[in-house]
Amino acid sequence: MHSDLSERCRIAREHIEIPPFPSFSIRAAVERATRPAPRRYSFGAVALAGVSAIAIAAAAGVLQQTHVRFSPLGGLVVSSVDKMVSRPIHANAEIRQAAEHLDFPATLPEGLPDGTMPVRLLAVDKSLLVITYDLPGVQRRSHHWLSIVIANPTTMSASTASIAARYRLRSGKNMSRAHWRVGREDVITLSNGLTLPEIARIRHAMEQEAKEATQ
Amino acid sequence: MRLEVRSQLVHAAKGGDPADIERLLEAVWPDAYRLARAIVEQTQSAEDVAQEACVIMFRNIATLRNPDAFPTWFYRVVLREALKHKKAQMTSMMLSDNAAYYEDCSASLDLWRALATLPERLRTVIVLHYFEDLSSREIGKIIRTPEATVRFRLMTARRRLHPLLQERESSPRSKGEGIYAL
Repeated sequence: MHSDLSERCRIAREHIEIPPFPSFSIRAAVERATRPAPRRYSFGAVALAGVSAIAIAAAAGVLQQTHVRFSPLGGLVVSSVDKMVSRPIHANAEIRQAAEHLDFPATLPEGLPDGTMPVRLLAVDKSLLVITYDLPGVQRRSHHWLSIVIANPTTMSASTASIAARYRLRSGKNMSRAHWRVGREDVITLSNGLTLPEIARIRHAMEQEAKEATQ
Repeated sequence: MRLEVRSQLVHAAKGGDPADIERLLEAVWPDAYRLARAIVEQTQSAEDVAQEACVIMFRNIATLRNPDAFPTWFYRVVLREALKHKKAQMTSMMLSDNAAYYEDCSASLDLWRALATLPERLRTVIVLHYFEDLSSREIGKIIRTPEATVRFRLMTARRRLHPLLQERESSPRSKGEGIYAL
């Protein structure tokens, strides 16, 4: 067991791919840390400003429980106060059913490559769905996962950035990403297996769908 | 210790010249990343942890009194950052960006899964001993724990891992298992 474990650990260690040394990021972080601290306001002033900001946000109806942002390193981060519920799915009907509970008129993914199968659905609050598909075709080999995020545009706004998130969902920074707005929703595709024409086809199909729904 | 850093590099970095410090950090970056990856499990988080550890070392290298103690200090900083990161992470789900990794290294994957079942204190000693080739004494110095305690934890960890790795060897992995959301 002892030598077997050593061997396994050695193999696992060798398989870890090392990213390039982030010289620029480290320098920037060190510079930021050595900068003089910003002026500190009294507790009363901060509390008053906070309460006013929350009141204005609540009045404007932009107080969201979920926030979506793109991290500086390239990944997608979804933060939420509510628990994220992920479950396996087998049919598009299950996606349609979940979309009925969203707080915005959702346009579901269309124009996917033939043979694409929905495999997992993750709902965040009432304002975001992450649908994971299994893409067909042997040419995609290990890049056969496609995730499509459909979100209420308010989740992308800066005003929701400071929510006290309890749950966080991250995408890998190496995952290729496309982002567009269709109707009253934001669509983000995350996949290394989709080609540009395929992304264009999905976008076009969803835009058509949204146009038909408004007519 | 597996970490081999030329003492000239450490001496030069202690001088405070940013170029020298960067040269030293670049030399230890792979070790920092591997250790972080072995503790925090996720590639994205590991990069953040290793980067944060490098920033701390960049800022504090001048305060290191004994340059020979650099490896111990290095492990301590990376480990502390990795554990801090894990603690701060209330619930985090990684959207897998490296399906190839899952598919190509099933033996390694089983090991990662088995390691993930270990509590923090056992996982740490296993990683330092088997990944970093550190002796119980060196581990004790890093985590500030008596050598005998380290040996006891290693033995406990090995006992816990044994049935898990045996079991996984005998049961084939089902397709898609282990990929959480994306």
